[in-house]
Amino acid sequence: LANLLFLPNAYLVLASGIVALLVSYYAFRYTRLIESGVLKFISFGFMLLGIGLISQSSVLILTSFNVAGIVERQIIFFEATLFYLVLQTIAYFAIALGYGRGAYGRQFAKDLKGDKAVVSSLFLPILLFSPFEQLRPRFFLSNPVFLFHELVSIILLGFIAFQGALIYSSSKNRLSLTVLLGFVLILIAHIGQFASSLLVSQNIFLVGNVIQFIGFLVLLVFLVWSGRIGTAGKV
Amino acid sequence: VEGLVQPEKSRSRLKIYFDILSTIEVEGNAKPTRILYKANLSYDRLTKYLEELVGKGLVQEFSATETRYYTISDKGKELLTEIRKAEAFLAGFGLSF
Repeated sequence: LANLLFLPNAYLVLASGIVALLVSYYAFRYTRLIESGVLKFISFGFMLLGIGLISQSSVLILTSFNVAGIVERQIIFFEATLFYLVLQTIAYFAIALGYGRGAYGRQFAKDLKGDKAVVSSLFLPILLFSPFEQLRPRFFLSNPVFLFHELVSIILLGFIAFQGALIYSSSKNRLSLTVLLGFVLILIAHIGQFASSLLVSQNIFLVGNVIQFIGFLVLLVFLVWSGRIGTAGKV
Repeated sequence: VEGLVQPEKSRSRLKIYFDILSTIEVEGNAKPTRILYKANLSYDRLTKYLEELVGKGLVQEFSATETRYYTISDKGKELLTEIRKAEAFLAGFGLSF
């Protein structure tokens, strides 16, 4: 079943990446109108997420067609996954920083800004587990690097979802509820991917990707909705 | 009760533009006194902002029976729509401008 769903799964990852880039584009577009550090963080975070997802999906698509013998050359697969994981972690960190700044004010970001150790610590496992040669045979399921990045992503997404819940509880705004729902689904997806890595289950991994896609679909609904509400003249 | 009274934030230039433009859009042909009342601005500040908006081509000024009127231009309508879209997007992330 996992082999049968491999290619559709790659397309779902690609679609998720495109939605992430769309969110990034709109956040950037509005920073030209409204000078907002929060929007810049959100735009930057979703841009990294989009690039990571699209690069991962490209490799998955190439693999499913075995273009240029990519299946035999596992190093590309491994490095692409690693590239995606690093981008994903930095992306969620940027979004969490922006969201936290939105909820708690500028001081929150200032407190974290100087703490370069937080960001650099995210790359520590990669250095610890070098050289890559030792990791390649185990690929990414049950791989410590994958597990670490997934765990960091879960913590960051938990933080983001909590901020979203706080924002919704104070605003009772349907738009903030949509964003919250999107992030909660992406969080559930990452918990699924973490579990799939522990259990070495490709099926759970694929289910996680489907939930992630639904999460990004909800964010797409938010984009369309905010555009329509803006045009109609009522927020 | 702590936090019940929020400190008053000063309106951004964009928010003031938005208040003036949306008032003119609703009124059609708006008198300065009407804009002044709806946008909650002093006469001096309103004059300054209206000059800026006319200069940017967002608002058109015309006189009839010794009274000045202001009407929103197409460029002004486009900006108003864009600000509303941005406002809706920001609301999703718990922000306002």
